[in-house]
Amino acid sequence: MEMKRNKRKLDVFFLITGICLAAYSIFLLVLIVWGFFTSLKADLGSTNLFRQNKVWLPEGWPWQWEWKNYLVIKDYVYVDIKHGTIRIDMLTMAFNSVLYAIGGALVAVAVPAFVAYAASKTSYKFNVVLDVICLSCMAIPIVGNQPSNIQVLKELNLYDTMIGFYIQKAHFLTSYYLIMKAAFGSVPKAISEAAQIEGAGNYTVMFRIVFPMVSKTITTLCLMEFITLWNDYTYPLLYLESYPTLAYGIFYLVFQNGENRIRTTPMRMAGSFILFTPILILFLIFKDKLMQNLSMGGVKE
Amino acid sequence: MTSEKKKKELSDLLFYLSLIVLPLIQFVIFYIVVNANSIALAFKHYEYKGGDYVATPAYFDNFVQVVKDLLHKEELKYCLRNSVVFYLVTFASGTVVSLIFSYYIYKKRVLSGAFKTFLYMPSIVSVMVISVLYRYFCEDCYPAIVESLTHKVVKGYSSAKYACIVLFNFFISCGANMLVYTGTMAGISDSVIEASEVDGVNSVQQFWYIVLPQIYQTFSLFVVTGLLVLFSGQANMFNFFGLKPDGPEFYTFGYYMYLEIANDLNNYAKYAYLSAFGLIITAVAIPTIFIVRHLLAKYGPKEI
Repeated sequence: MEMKRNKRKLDVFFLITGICLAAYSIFLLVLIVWGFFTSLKADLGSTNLFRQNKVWLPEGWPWQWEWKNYLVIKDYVYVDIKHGTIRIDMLTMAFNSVLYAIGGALVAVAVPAFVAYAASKTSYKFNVVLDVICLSCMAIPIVGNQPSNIQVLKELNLYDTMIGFYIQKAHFLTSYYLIMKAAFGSVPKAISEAAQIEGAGNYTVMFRIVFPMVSKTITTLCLMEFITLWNDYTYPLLYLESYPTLAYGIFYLVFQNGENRIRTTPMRMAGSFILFTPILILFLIFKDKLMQNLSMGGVKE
Repeated sequence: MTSEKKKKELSDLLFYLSLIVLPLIQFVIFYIVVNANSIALAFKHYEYKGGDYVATPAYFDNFVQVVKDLLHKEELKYCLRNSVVFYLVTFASGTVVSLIFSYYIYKKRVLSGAFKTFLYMPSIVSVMVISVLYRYFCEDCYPAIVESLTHKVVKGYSSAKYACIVLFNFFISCGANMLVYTGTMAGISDSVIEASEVDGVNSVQQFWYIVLPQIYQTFSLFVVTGLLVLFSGQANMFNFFGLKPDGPEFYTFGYYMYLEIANDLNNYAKYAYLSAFGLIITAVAIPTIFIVRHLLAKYGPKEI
């Protein structure tokens, strides 16, 4: 009887959670699909007028939809820098995005990985200090140091440079350090010890034995960081004025571009999908890697 | 033998140093020096003279000004209100709801694979893109649907911006940290879960008494780091308003500070005030975090 009651409670709990998850998923799907179809409607001079059909699919066959919105919008994805004296076009911004996202992701994962390796595979007392530094910096919010950060970067001639950005990313004060430490911790010490007995050096053990064993975690973190940086526009806006990225370009298009031609819902949707599409493709290709479970080693023994 | 051992020790030490020295130098410059400079900035006053900014000692003037502003300036009162509201919203969704959703996925219930994909989607798609989609959906699509169903005219996003943004923040945080939660849950011993099921423990009890205590370390880390939202989060305001908010009622501490810097990047005179502002917020943030950590440790769930 007791077991039966428990079973019923179990079902209700998961049923409610499942309904909430279904509602969440449907809303997200509707949002994306609606946005995509809206980007294929016109604001003027077409049978597919957005004003007359704000909810449903564009009228007619797919080849009658307003695909040209994407051709039009690409000419308006630009950023004026240096007080409007230089215009950066979409292609240059896409190139900046690649530099920003690929370089940044590699640095942002490699540095915590190296430090985590040092902390988990050696027994120096200083390792405790590394843990303390990482955890305290993560837990204690230092607010309002951006002005100082800009000032220091300017003093070092690193402000508004891609190298400056990479150097800023080269720290281990993130959860990546904890994730990598947990990943290295799961590799048995006996494996590296055996390799060292065979004559392998420290770097050989690290790069040829241990790193390949945690390559899934490293790839996942790199992909996650790449996507975060690809979508980020707040850092380039403050620190990389001369290297606007595509995300910054879309931000500029949505909020600062004064051209009347593009101040319509379909055009803004088209602009958003220019940024969204590469990431969607990447996600579909690397879905399994990206959604691999991560652990910070927080399970109680 | 001894010399070989020493050589090995030296080589190990050099290897160790090669891995940590550069990150430590980076830490010293971009954490210690930057924050020390931030403190120094807070005690300075900048004046624009002869084409350059000249610093003079300001002693506690900037701090006094910040306190006065916190007490009297309307926009900073909004900052406080909104930061608390949005922290509670993201805490409720980003930690509590996300944890329950993760448990559902961990238990591999119906459609858990598909739900995992959808929950992870906001981490993949640019939040700015989702916010643009959401904003125009609320503005154009929602009123059109309501009108077609009820024949009533309703206004969209523009008439209920604040509520829309609160909902958006809740929505966007529901899948936060889901991968780490499910990953940590996967590390729980199967025998513990099986034994509890044999004993007739239901899903809620299993979640509260077995799963949560086992992953409590990860959970409390997210709760503590989540406090950053309270003190420096922008609550996606930037994604809705860019550099020109519709009014001070949308300010959070993070958004206010970012706007002050981004709208006037080369104005050193503002830097000093903002550094003092940041230091005062930090002075509140640090004890808050320690209190929260203490409370989490004291009142957290206990394993049965």
